[in-house]
Amino acid sequence: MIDWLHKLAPRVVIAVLGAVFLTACASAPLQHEALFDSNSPYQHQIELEQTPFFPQEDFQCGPAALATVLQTSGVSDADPDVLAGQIYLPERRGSLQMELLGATRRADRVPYVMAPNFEALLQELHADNPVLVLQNLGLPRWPVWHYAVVIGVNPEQDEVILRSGTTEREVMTMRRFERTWQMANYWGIVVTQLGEIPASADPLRYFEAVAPLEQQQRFEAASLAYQAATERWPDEATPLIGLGNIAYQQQRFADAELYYYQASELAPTYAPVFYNLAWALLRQGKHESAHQAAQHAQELAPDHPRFGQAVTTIENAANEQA
Amino acid sequence: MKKSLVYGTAFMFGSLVMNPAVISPAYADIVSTQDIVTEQRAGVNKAQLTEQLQRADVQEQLVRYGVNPDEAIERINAMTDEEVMELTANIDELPAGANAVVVILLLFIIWILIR
Repeated sequence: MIDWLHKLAPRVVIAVLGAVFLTACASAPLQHEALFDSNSPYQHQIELEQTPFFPQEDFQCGPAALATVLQTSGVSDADPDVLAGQIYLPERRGSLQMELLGATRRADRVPYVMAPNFEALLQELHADNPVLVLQNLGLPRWPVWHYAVVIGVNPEQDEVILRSGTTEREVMTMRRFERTWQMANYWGIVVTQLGEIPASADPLRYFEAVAPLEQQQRFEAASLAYQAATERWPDEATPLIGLGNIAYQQQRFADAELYYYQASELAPTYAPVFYNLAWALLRQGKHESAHQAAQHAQELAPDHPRFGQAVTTIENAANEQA
Repeated sequence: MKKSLVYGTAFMFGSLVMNPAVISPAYADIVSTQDIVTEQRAGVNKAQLTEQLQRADVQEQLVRYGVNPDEAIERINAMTDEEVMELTANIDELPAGANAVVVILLLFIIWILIR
């Protein structure tokens, strides 16, 4: 009887675990296979060997990975021990994604959350940007969360190369890497030098990454980022509005006016531009033009709770000023 | 600019959840870039954002999770309102990246055995 149990038990364990793994592996298809065919721009291998490495202490892969990308972005004093104080959550024995984003802002850098796909990762690597990724090294049901920095790929050898934990050059098969990354919803961030934009960046995603820096009055970093965005996407009004808003907050109202004018040329039917323009004009005592701009904002969005009242708002403010 | 902008909802957000410590007084006049961007991302969870964000409560929560009170404020101030809300709502479930060598090793061995 006991003998029989002994024989059976391992099989049962394996069968159960197998079932768990099978459900895990039967999930979404992997993306990397389609990315390396013969016309692919990503065929050749790349490894960002200069990327610094911080062997992590217990549970500190978040601070170590973040220090790695921050240093690459020019924050030369980024230090895992200091960062641990900013992102380590003792009761969870790890770091949460939003804390990594916050700590990046505290270093005056833009934390760009990549589009969640494998091609974006390749685009960044080929533009010399290492990518901080979240991985699930366990199973969907029993996750083991881990941060690492992808520094290279070798399609020929089917390898992904990472700075990970205590391993300076960890090599994973593409398949294994993508599974672990896929289970973390392909979450990854890119941190570039000030005034540089990630290669894979999409305008709205990028503006979403920059606006919080402006909101937190990290004006220098934000304005360099918006400045770069006006060059990368010359048809987008948002970075010009951002520059205008920074100028406004710094009470450089004439500069703000100029940026809003430029934005209005790109977005002639967008009420917020004219609304902010009205304020910038008012602050310079140009009451007549402020009134016109407010009127225009109101005509563009008559039912809007804020812009629909633009003329009254600006008139009241003008009377207060007088 | 995208033409499919929806006016009317996004611009309330700013007034709900701003932290006075980091917002300059003059900024109350104009539409913030943050609001503009939030509005352009139609997928934002509006119901969630209508909840009043109490940063003091969030601070308390972080302190309970082992962060010192001053540092907790710094952390919260470096996050967006959406991030803070997500953090408070799911602090126990969110992935906490760490290094669990033993667990990984164990899983790896099992994986080798059964594959």
